[in-house]
Amino acid sequence: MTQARMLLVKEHSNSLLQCLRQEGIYLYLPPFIIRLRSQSHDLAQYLSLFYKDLSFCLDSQVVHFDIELKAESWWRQWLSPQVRFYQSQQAPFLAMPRHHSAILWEWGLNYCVAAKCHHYLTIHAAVVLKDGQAVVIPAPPGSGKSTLCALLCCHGWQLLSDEFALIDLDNQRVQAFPRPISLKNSSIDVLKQVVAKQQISAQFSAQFSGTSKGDIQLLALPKAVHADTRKTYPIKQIVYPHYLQQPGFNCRALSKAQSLMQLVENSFNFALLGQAGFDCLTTLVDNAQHWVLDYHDFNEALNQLELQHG
Amino acid sequence: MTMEKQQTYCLSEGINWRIWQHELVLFNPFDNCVHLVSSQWLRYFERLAQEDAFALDDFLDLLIDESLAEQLWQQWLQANIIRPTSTLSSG
Repeated sequence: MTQARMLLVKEHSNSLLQCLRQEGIYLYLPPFIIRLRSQSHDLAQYLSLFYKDLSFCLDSQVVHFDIELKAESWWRQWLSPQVRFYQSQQAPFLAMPRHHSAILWEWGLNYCVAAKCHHYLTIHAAVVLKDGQAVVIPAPPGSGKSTLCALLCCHGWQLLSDEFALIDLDNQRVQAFPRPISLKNSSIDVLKQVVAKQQISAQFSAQFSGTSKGDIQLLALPKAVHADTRKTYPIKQIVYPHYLQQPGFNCRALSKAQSLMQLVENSFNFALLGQAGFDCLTTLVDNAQHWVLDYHDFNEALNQLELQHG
Repeated sequence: MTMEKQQTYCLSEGINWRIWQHELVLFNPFDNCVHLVSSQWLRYFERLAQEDAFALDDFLDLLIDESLAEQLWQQWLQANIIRPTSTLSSG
């Protein structure tokens, strides 16, 4: 059996669209291999800029997800061009405007991981890393976890994920899965200022307005800020953030039992994993510290996290 | 009491639990749900786990406060932690 010829996205950005339009590419986005097909010029351009350091191949592979972004029917293209996300020929979402292809890809991939990836315990959480130990930041949508995650990554922390904690069921270590961070509404300007001030060579996508989550921009951090995707990491802290609209700060310990209940609440597949999920979570909870962090000023949150992590 | 006293019950199979200080987390493989309760319930839980079947009266004997016992009983029934062993008797 011959080994597949691996290609770097950034070295083949000119031919990426053609590859996507033909048999598709087999994208290596650790820990997953994804077959991706699309006619979308917008998506090809987005991938070549925001996934430039990834590898792909053109030879058929066994994949975790088979994804296609397809244009809606031809007559629809004359009114308002739209694309739809397909995973193994199933379409879980409504179509979106063609110029939102990048968002559709990101959300679609989130759907695939949440719905199909059961060899990990999956938790809706941001995960950052310092000194080889991870901090998991579980939170419901809109709680500011992506903003906090992006800010931390602009201040010396490394990114594992802004969306998923992928936890190994056997050893409770978390898998790195860094991708562009999805920033919403007012957090976009906050991060633009911080990125400029910290002189980070980050890249912002075009703004996607009028989505179901409001205005969105995707932030790609430099590769050096990404945690090594070949590794898994022990979890030292689990932090439940709550952004305060008014000035204020409070950090308090959370009991292990209550933290476990919140992790279950934020898990995509605990109910599917059953006993294996419970065993994994009880061990994880035993070995980590648990905090509720109410903050308004990010610097106070950063100082507290670094103090606890030290 | 609104419960049928002749009915017997048992703990659902395979219930697992972890206790941390004053808090008890029960895991029920029947529905893969977790429940957070006070750790003081563990002794009742362990007592009932020793029986193949028990009636409501057995449960009441364990607790002094009857209204609390009924509340707990209802809570455990709704959470599938205990279940009837057979159909209701005509009593």
